[in-house]
Formats: sequence, structure tokens, C-alpha cells
Amino acid sequence: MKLVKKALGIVAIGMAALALTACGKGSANNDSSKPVHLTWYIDGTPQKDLKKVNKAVNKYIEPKYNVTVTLNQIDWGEYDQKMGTLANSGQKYDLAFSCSWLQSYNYLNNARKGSFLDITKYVDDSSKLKGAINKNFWKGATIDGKLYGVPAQKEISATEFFVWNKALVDKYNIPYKKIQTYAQLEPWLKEVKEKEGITPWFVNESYSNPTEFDQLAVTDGFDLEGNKNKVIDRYDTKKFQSKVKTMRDFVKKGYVNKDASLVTANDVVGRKWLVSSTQMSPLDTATIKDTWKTDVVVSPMTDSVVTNSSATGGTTVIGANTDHPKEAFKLLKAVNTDPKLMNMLAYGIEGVHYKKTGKDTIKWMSAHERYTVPFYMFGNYFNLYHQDGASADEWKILKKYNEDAKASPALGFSFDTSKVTSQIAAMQNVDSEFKKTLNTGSVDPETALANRDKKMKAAGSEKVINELQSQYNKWKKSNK
Amino acid sequence: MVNQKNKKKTNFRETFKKNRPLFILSLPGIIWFAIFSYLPMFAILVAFKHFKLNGNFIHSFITSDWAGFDNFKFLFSSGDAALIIRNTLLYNIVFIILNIVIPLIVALAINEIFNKQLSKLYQSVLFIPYFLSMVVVSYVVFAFLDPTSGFFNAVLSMFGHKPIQFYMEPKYWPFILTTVQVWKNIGYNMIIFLAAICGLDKSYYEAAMLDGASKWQQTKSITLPMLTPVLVMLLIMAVGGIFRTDFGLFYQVPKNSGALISVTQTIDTYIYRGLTSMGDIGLSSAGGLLQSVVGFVLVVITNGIVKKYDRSQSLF
Repeated sequence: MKLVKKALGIVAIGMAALALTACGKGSANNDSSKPVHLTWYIDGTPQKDLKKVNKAVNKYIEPKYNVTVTLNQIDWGEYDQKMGTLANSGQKYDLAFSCSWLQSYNYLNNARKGSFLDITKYVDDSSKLKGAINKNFWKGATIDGKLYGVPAQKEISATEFFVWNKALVDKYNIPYKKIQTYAQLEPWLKEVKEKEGITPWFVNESYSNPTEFDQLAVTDGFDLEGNKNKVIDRYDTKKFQSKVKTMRDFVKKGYVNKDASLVTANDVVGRKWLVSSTQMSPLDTATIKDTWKTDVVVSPMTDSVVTNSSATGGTTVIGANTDHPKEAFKLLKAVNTDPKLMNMLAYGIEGVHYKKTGKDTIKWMSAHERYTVPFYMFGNYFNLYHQDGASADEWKILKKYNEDAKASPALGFSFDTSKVTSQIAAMQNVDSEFKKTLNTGSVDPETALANRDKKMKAAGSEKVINELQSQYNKWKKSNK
Repeated sequence: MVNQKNKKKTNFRETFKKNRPLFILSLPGIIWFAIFSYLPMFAILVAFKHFKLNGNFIHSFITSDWAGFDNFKFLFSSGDAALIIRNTLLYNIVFIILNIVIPLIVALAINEIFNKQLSKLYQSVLFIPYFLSMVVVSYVVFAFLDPTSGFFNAVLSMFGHKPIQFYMEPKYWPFILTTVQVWKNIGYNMIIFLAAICGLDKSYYEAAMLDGASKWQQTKSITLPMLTPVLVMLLIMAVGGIFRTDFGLFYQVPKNSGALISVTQTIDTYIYRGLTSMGDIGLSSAGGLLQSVVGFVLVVITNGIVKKYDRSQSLF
């Protein structure tokens, strides 16, 4: 009996502790002389030198901003799930990385659900931060008129690029910069296939036959090459349909690999290919060369389009239950406006991870491999030093690219799905049934498109399209 | 197998004193269940709410609006509801039967092996797949079925056949999935049966042998009847999961191939595909609750049927 009592006691204490942490309102630290401590969650493979860099960051920000921070890095595979749980359970944290391409810790859904702090007021009060970042980023991050995060200023558009094998491009003198359509591509596919005896175009399962389109609900959204104000299913646009038909034709002719619907992007390594594609920015060529282990040249497949999801490709948010909203924003602002801090977070410690070779150029040192993090976890690229080998005007190129990108008419509009969740769940299922096989030319497009259309309608796509259209019209009216 | 109810009513304290070591042994399990299964149980009500965050979880829970049965609608709103339920139930019924019959046969066979070392080797080999992750299994299966360099297609082309696009042809998958499932899980139930067989009283067999009973007669008249309690227990437990499917088996193994959805879509994959991008915990809880309720009802029914035939073999 004694033992049971003891055990029960332990359980009771445990529960009490749980209840306390769950319900207790931690008292905010208002003592202005003492630095406020913040927690920050970032995504990525945990780095060996993270603690070291964290320490250096604190040494720099404590006197200057009167805050200290703990950087918590969670591995790619787990970040989404863990942060989603953290948000749903109402845990306290100050800063975190969110974006449009995560699932359970997705920027739009979590902002709607109330996981993030509304920072509209703070941003409006800070003209320095507001001016440092292209206005389309701010527009894209705005949900129902409110801002919930600071988007990292990187490439603003998620454009699919043709990636060409440089050796073959040089050999056949392919004018790759002028090739955008499948029709322009075909003669080169034919020639290379005949002369080299290879399957020239490597397509993987995530290929989507890009068109200039803003998808807002499953595949429904706005066609930027057609009527820009009418909601339509991307799979119903002429341009997309002709693309998948050509793709099927290419598969039959042997220009595209037959196993396209089963292979992933990295399976390109070790194959012989002339052209493939990936979503990237014009500055990512070096990364592609590295991962694909081939010398490449690239050209965009479509014009660049700015959508809500492309503008929020990397966004830092403040947790809704934070005790220190002001301090968290102060740090967030510093990351985006203080070059020294941004460089420290992105590149590591000067003299340890990199050394300076000029005013704003650097060279990696051997410890670099102990600290490599994606820069969009933090903020503004334009404050970063230039890496060895990068062109000195890379940020100018990126800035121009961002300014030239076409804004979607729905930039700043976000769809409230609460009335049509069942329909969207059903449509997601229909979409996943046809997405890969249709886009990779693995099935006959005529019958598949007809089937898909029938099933989409059965799943309630018309209701979703109508709801989307009416919400958009209302938004448009009030945002003239 | 003494029925508790026939005994004189004893109070908790006496029962406890008598079985103190057993209670202590079960304590970690009880605590585990209390904390991880019973304490959070109130949260099943999330399935009936439009969950919106507002401060911490409990506060958000209280302040969220009630949704009635709205959250359950998405499971039945698509035209595929019948297909999903058919797949889930049919696969599970086949799995339940095969996962009892095949491991039983294998256990009986292994039990007859005289060479102890060989017998141990077979057991281990059959048990290994149970510990593999479905993601790993999906690559093993892919090595066989790969349309270009897979083992099967290599053999087919040796005999001059055209390669089969396995990941495009739904008709093969009921067999492939069943084979994979049984191959992966055979070891677990086999070990349970082997343990049960080892625990049988040897004197029955000695008596039978004296009477000149053959091996088959011994199996039929001694081993199988003595194993029924274990069989029934495994059956009832398995029925509880009849509305749940192994997500990895139906999602990873077919490589999430859209062309196969008519034979690989089950409740779990439907919920995953439909809800991952929305992150609505009300809807996903509704799906989970429905699976649990159906499983619970079926367990009670199965147990009731068993009880009707043989009181002593029912679980509760």
C-alpha cells in the first residue's frame, strides 16, 4: 500500500507540475536593466558549432539590444511536426521559422489559427525595417490585413528553371537562354537523343509543368496568362493541358525517362541527361552544380510570378504566447537591419568560420563545415557579405529580379477555407491521385484529365471555386 | 481461466494483498496508461470543436466553438467514401485471418524441428522483417518491382516478356500488399504461438503417444484446442484495429503512386492526403475518434459472441 501511495504521490506531483506549466501565466520580466532572454526555433540539420555561434551572437547583442537568445535547431524531417505540436499545445516561445511550404507549421494556416503574434503595429512603427524589405514581401505576408511575420528578403518568386548539362549545351551549341516552351525544346531533345543515345530530359515526380498561375486552394486559383480575375482550376487551362499532352508525347518518343513518376530530384545523379528542371533563384546555380555533380547552366521556364506563398518562402514569426513580444520584435528587426548580426547568424564567427578578404567579401575557413545554415532561416540577404566566387553585384541582380517579378492579382489576399474544409480535403485526395502520373506523362492525358475533372466536381470543386471567387471579389473591392 | 465472478466477492484490499507482486509488476504499465492514454482522453472532445488557438491548449480548448458533427463530414463527403471503407475493411479482414493462420502453421512446423539451433535460426529470420521500418520495406519492394531495373522485370525480360509497370497497374497490388503485410508481421504472432505451445503440459502428448496417436492427431486434438484461448485473444485484439491501417504499408510501399489509389486508399491515407496541408486538428481528431469508436464497438461485439459460446474464453 505504501508503495502505491508513493507512486500515486509521484504521479500527482507530475500532473500538478504539468497543470501548472500549462495554466500558469509566467510573469513578464519588466525589469529594463536586466537583459531579456529569448528562444528561437530554426529548421535544419543541427550544426556542430551552433552553440559557439550562439554564444558569440549573445556577446554582441546583449550590450547593444539588451536581449540574449537561445537558438534551437531542429532537423529538417522533424521540424514541421514538432513545431506544429508546439503551436497547437500553446507552448511559449519567442521566435520561430515558418513558411508557406511547411505543412503543419505552415505560415498561413497557423496565422489564421492564432499561433502567431500579430506584429502589424510593430512593423508600421519601424520605417527602417519596412523600408529595407521589398513591399511585395510585406504584401504576400499580409493575412486579412494583418502581418504575422517578417519575410526573409531572398528571391521573391518560386520559378521553375530549366537546368542544362553544360557539356552537352556547349557540344551542340544549344541556345538555351531562348528556350522556354516545349516546342522550342523538342528539336534539341531529338538531336541529342539520336546522336548521344541517351534519354535527354530527366523529369522527376515533383514536376508540375509550370505555367504562370497562382494556386490558392488545391489547384484552383488565378491564371496570370488568361483572365486574371476569374478563379479557375489550373488543370483546366489550355496552356497546362497542351503541356501535359506534349509531355505524354515526349515520353512516347523516348525524350523523357519512363520512371519519372517514381524518381526524386536527386536521382539525377549518375544518369546521363541533357536537361532537367528545378525550382530555384538565379543565384542558386552553384548549389545545383554541387548537388547534381554536373556543370550546369540555367534558364527560367516561365516569367517570375510573386504569389503569397512565394513571398513567404522563409518567414520568421513571433509565437502568440510569448512573454516578451517587444524584445522579440526588437531582435527580429535587428536581424533584418543590422548587417553584423545577420552575417554572424548566417556565416558564423569571423576568424573561425570565415575570414574577410575585403570590405564585404569573405572566404570560408576550414571550420565552415561545422556551421552551415540556410540563410533564409534568419533574414535579409542584402546585408550578407559576398562569398568567395560570388559576383560582387549578386544582391543587385537579386534585387532587380525581385522588382521585375510579376505580382499575382491575389497578392495579399488569403483564402479562408473554414466553410469548405471537407471539400478541400476530398479535392486534395483527388489531386494526389492524378498529380504525378499526369504531370510526368505516365498516363494518357485525355482520359486522365476527363476523369480528374469528374472526380473533382464530385468532391465539391465548384463550391470551392465559387467561395474563392466571392471572397476574392469582396477583398478586391475593399482593397482598391 | 477461473472466472472471477463465480468467486466470492472480495474487496480490493484483500485482492491487492494477495497479488501484491503482480500489482507491482503492472504498476509501470498502469502509470504509463494513466498519463498517456487516460489523462489526455478529454481531448477527444476536440473532434467536436472548431479548434482555434487562444493562449495555452486548455484555454483554447474551452474557448473554441462547438462544431457538433461537422468535423466528421469530410470523411463521407467525397464520392470515394464507399471505396475507402471497403478497402480498409477488406484488407484488414484478410490480414486478421492470414496473420493468425499462417503464423500458427509456421509455429507448429518450427515446434517440430529437433535441431534447436536451426529452429532458433528460422525464428530469427522470420522475426527480422517485423523490426524493419515500412520506408525500408518500400525500397525492398521497389527493388523487386522497379519498372526498369527491378528483379521481377529482369526475370520477365529473360523469358521474353514485356516489362510490367507495377506502379501503374492497380490489379497486382492487393496481392503485393497482402504479401508484404504477412511477410512483415509473421514473426510476431509466431513467437506468441511458439511460447504458448512450449507452455503446454507434455504429459498430454505422452499419454497420446502411448495410445498410438500420430503427430497430426496430436496436433489436431491436443495442440489446437489448447491454443484456442490464445487464438481468441489475438483475434479480439486484432478486431479492435479493424478501422485502422498501417499507414506505411498503404502509402510508402506503393510509393504514393496516384494510379494505384483505387486499391491503396484507406481511411488513414485519405486523412493524411486530405488534411496535411490544412493542419486542422479538429478534423484529424474526428477521423481518429471514428476509428477508435468503430474498433471499440467491434471488440465488444466480438467479445460478446465469444462469451456466448464459451464464457471462459472471452477477454472481459
